Amino acid sequence: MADVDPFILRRVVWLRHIPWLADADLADLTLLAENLTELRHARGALVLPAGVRPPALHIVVEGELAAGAMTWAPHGIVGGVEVLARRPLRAAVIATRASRTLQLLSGDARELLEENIQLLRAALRALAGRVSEAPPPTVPSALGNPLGFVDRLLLLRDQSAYTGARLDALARLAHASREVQFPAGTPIVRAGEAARGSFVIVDGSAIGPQGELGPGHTIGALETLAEVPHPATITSRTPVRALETCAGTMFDVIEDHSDLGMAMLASFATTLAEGGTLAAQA
Amino acid sequence: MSRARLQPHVLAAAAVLFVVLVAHALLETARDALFLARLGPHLLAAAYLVMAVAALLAVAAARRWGRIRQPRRLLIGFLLLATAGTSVLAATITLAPALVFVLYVWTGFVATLVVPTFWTAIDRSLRITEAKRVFGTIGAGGVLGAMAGSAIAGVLGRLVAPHYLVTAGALAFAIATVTAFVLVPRAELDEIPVRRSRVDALSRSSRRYIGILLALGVVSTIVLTLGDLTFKMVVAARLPASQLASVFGEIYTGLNAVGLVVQLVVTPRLLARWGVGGALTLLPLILVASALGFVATGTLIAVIALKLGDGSLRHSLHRVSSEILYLPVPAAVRDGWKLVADALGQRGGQALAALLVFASVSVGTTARGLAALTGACGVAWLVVLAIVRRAYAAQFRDTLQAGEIQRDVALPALDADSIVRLTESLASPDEIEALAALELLARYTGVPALVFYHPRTAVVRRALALLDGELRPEVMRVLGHLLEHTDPKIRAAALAASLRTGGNRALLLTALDDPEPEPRAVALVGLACAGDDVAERIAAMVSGRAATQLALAEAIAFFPEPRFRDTLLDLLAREDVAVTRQVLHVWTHAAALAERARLLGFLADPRLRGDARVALLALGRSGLDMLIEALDDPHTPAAVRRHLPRTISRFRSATAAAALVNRLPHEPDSATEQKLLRALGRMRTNDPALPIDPAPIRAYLHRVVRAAARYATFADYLALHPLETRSGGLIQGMVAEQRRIAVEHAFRALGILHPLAGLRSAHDAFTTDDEARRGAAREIVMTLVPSDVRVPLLAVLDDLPPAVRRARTGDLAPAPFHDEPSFLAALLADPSEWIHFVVAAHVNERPVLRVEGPYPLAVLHG
Repeated sequence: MADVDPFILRRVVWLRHIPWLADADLADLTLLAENLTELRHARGALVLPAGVRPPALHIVVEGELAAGAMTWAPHGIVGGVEVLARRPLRAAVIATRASRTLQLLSGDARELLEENIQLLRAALRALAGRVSEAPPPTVPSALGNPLGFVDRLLLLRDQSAYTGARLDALARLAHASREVQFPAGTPIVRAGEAARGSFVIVDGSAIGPQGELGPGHTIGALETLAEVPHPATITSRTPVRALETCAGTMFDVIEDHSDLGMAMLASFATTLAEGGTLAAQA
Repeated sequence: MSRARLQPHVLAAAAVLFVVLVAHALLETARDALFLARLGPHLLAAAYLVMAVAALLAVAAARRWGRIRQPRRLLIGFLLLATAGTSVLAATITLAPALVFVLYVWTGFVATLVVPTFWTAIDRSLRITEAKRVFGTIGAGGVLGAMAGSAIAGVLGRLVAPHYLVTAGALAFAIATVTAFVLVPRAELDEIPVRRSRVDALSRSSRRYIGILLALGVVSTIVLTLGDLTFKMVVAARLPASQLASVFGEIYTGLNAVGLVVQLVVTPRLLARWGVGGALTLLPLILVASALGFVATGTLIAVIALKLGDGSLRHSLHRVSSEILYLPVPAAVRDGWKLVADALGQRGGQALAALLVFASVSVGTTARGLAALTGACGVAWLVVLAIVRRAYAAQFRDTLQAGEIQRDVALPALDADSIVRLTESLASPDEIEALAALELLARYTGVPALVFYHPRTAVVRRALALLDGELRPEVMRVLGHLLEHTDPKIRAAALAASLRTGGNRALLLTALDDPEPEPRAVALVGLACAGDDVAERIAAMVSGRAATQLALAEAIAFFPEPRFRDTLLDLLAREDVAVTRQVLHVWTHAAALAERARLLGFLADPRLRGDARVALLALGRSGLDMLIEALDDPHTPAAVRRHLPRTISRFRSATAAAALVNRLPHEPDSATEQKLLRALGRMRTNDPALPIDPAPIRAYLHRVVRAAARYATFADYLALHPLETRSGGLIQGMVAEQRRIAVEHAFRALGILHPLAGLRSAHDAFTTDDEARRGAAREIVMTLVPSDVRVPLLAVLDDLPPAVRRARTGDLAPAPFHDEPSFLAALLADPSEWIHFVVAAHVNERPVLRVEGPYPLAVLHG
């Protein structure tokens, strides 16, 4: 294995083939390109071992990598989910043919995302779009009525999407969020509507295509981050009290607190990793 | 490593150096006695020169070996060589007087190799913070060794002939060899990891740094040699010859004792308080002051002060500090080049000093003249030292950054070869490759006209978008052939191009019936420009679907005339994001049409912010003035205010920087404060020469260090007295975070003041547990930051007992808290409103608490 290709411009052009980087600014792609190392792998070579946290992710340039039944062709990203989720790979990644990859060390990947809001948002958009449902968190007991600042802060802190986010970021979200009420039978979000923020259910229950959603469930966050319309209508079954955070606030806070964005990325990546989705991540 | 665990290593190293210096002192005494007795002082100068040449040859040989041998093995090898060579000389010294000359040179030869190699071996086993604490103790071993060796030589000299001292020296070197084998540590500490791609660059910068240290070595040796000669000349002239031996003996004994005290007591304290750079300044300052004092007064006391400074500091504080200067250099470079720099510095400096003395004496210079020369060279020493201090910090910065990701990268410049390759990529059947190549070419050379013949519609559309309404002549010629293109946007652009080149009215009228809105919009706009009354049809487009509105905005981009100002405002009123973005594009290229007051408001919308910034930038100075006014206006909505700093920073001017600097100390909103720091940091990183007024930044720095000290004190209290409510846990978390934020802000402020110093890397290093990185970061702070900020800042960063931290933060820390209510009252007095909320919640959970002080009722209800 050796670092053989110093031509950054060619690399920048090539990185555009990765779907979630298709609209990335050239300056951001250059930053990423400068921190990649090109490696060659002989046929049958071990690229990433199983059972340990991957030390790096690999972007396939040429050839093919495989782990169990999963394969990655050119432009596929191997190990990205596990790097963000800080989880071990379930199966070893092997080069099924002589291959070339661009390696990004795991610490570097996280650091680049933390420091570059555009790359972070692109990554959030990509991963949020792949997660179908976030797991429900534990709802803190004794929430006030109405929700005070501390109640909101505790509620947000217990959202799995915000695990690891700093209190300062959550405090800003909590301060900018508002409590809303939905009478029974009211659509909370409608299918096809642009996603404009998230709702965390405090009291009551709602019905969606995935079944009943109760206290602690989040509605709309994934679509907001993925910047796609709501895929389905979710309607309140009983009167629902929820904490609403608008999209502008979410993105503003992520811009100022990359730890929040990284916490969300880690949460989405963990969900994907636990779902056993070692699918090509382009 | 803790002091207790470090002590055995320190004592072992000191013991080795002790034995080495005993051997060296024995040999030196034998050398001086035999040389003066058998050859005479007139050959001393020649001996110095031959010693310098021999040392250079020795170093060249050591360079050859230095790369392939560990320093420890090299030290043992040199001691073996010293033992063998000295033994041979001991056996043969009486055979011929010339061998005494050889002994003189041999002594210098051995000293040049052994002592620096000892320090190189010790360097491998200690971190920089440990070295500053313990090098003095290790060096004291050497001072004691020299004293003991001189004493032993004095005793032996009364009992046996001088040549037997050479035998004693050989024996001592044998003992030193065994001692080194047993006691010099084998383990080497891991260095700061360096990226493979940065190794060569770091090696180059390290060698440059060693070159600077070499210059320092040469200059300092010249000054010390001249000073020593001045002292000897004055004393020899003013005292009877019969008293010289005893006077010199007493002086040297006294100086050794003072040197020992300095080594053990003063050196570690000065290094901790002043840092390496400050500690190194003391000796040249004393020498310059005393030399010039002698020039002015001619008194013996001035010369004695000069010698006192030299004798007490040269082999203690100065030696230790000089060794520490090499610690930032990677071991691979240090092992190979330190010996060179040491040898050249010492022997080269002595040789140059000898030449200077020869020259001075030949023109009849007196002692005062020599003192003046000493003083002048001492000033040069101080100048070189100032360079060394910056280079020392820079070396740590380079080492830290060599292990980090590349941050400050710019798009690479395009050479002819690159342009050819990108043009080839433009023709690629791979659409993504073609689009990427187009973007790169557009950024550097403009949109190539022939791209409009590209078979892929997406590529042509993207090229049109990159034009942003600006039709260059060659582009217009090409577009003019695409009036019948299947894509409506391309047809529209072609129509606009044909109008610019004098297209006929019939084309416009035909386009009015186009099924798609884009050509229709261009037709309407073209007819309006020709004077036709099409206001109603244009208004209909404004009221139409979003796609129609967008088409109209794009059409106006081709003809951005004042007659369309109100139309653009009408389009904005539809509040469609894509349409608004297009209107902003028009305003960017036709600033005269921009509705300035509206532009500020768009900064609050993340979807429009980027385009609004570009439009504001296009306004030039008037845009900047408007932004500065908004920043200073307390009524500017927070959602807009928070994005003003970065927008202002895009102007990249001294005026923009000044506005941000002036705002920083007064900004009440913490989020905006953070953005001010980032914006200023970015401006200074992009252009380190950008002038700013440092005073407000320094004032801000003091404020955030005070805040950091305050939060550290709160955290210390909470560690001992945790608050057992659900809100109490939040208080603990928030205090920890506010401390982290305050420290980060302090480093950002320092980075604004010193944009090239690597303060960002230093801050990142302090957030890790890596001792090597933290040590490097600490040295950067020690070198750059004045003590009134440095001491409390490091007290916050270090893991210290609360009492020690409080002592070091002084009056920056709040007064001790007697109980929980007084602690909570102090929290309520903090500027952070988040803390106020959670404290209020905590108090609500603990109704028995009574908290005095400013306690807004609104806060109680969260």
